[in-house]
Amino acid sequence: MNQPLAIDILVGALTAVPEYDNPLNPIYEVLGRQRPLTLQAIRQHTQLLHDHADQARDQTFAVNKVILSCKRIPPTPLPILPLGF
Amino acid sequence: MQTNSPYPLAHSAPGILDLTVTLQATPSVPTNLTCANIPPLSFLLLADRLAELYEMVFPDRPEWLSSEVVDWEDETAVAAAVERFLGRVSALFPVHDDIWDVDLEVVEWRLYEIPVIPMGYDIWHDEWEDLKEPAPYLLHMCYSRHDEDRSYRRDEFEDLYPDHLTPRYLEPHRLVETLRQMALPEPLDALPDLIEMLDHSTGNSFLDVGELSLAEGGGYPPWNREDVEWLAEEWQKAKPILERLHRLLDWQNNTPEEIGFKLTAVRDALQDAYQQTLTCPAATK
Repeated sequence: MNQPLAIDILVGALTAVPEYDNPLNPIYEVLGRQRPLTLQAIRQHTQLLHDHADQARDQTFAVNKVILSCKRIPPTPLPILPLGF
Repeated sequence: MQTNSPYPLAHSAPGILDLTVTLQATPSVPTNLTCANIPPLSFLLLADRLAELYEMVFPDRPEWLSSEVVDWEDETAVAAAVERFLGRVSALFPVHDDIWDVDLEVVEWRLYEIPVIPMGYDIWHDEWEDLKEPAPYLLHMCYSRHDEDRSYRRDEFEDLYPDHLTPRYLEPHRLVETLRQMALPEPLDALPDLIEMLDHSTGNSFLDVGELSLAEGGGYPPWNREDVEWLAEEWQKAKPILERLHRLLDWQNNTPEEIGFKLTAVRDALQDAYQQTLTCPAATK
């Protein structure tokens, strides 16, 4: 009885996720202007690189957490596909 | 069968999965995204670490940082950049500067541990017969003699070197100082160094540690300024000793007769030193 509810809750939760930018955009913006891109240029932006790489990692971790949570949801018959398809 | 989804695409979750955008003929790309021609994040992080090591190891060569262009398209290009760095480190002290396994994790490991090449003997792993004389001669003299406590054991040293026997209680490592004082001619002057290397007691890490014993003893040291400076200093001390040592190992080494001549010279030097310690025990190390 609760299975369709779980899907509804999931969709509701995903819909509520606010828009976000790729955390790596600031890195691309800064390093993309460097021509040629040298070790020296990268070293000059090491803090930016690590801060945003950490954010990207956190985001990946959060997405993986959602995926793992979703895997725990029991199979739900969809209107377009029979259960066990 | 009904095919309409209860969750129409028009209401997809913004920012997570927007199929309407994906399905457009001309996808909308955020204008601030300028990642074209920039290597992936994993390469950038590795480049940053490589740059950090350049700064640490070669503070006087900033031009190497500005001349290394990070236009890496694949792991082979990353490995080549790391090999260039390690090749420059090789001028300070020996390191493995070839990367055979071009896998990002393997490449990255080289930037966290110094792949130093120790020059010492792994006497319990090396095949002694593969070593150049007089190394096997000295090893057998130390470890293959008849043991009074185990009289059933053969005296392998006697069997292997019947023409170059030495007194039973002559222990080469106890003769090092006496041999040095004897001022032996080249290339025999390296004999005390060789004895100490086989005994792992030179006091120099490059000479006392073998590749396998390094791996068994905790592995490679991490990159830091102190260890780099220390390794460079140790290598400067080890280099002349190794050069001297190779002169001895390569000397008279082409035919059995030549090797016999070399062993006779070594045995005579050892016996002279041994006699001196018998008459003047203080000379023993």
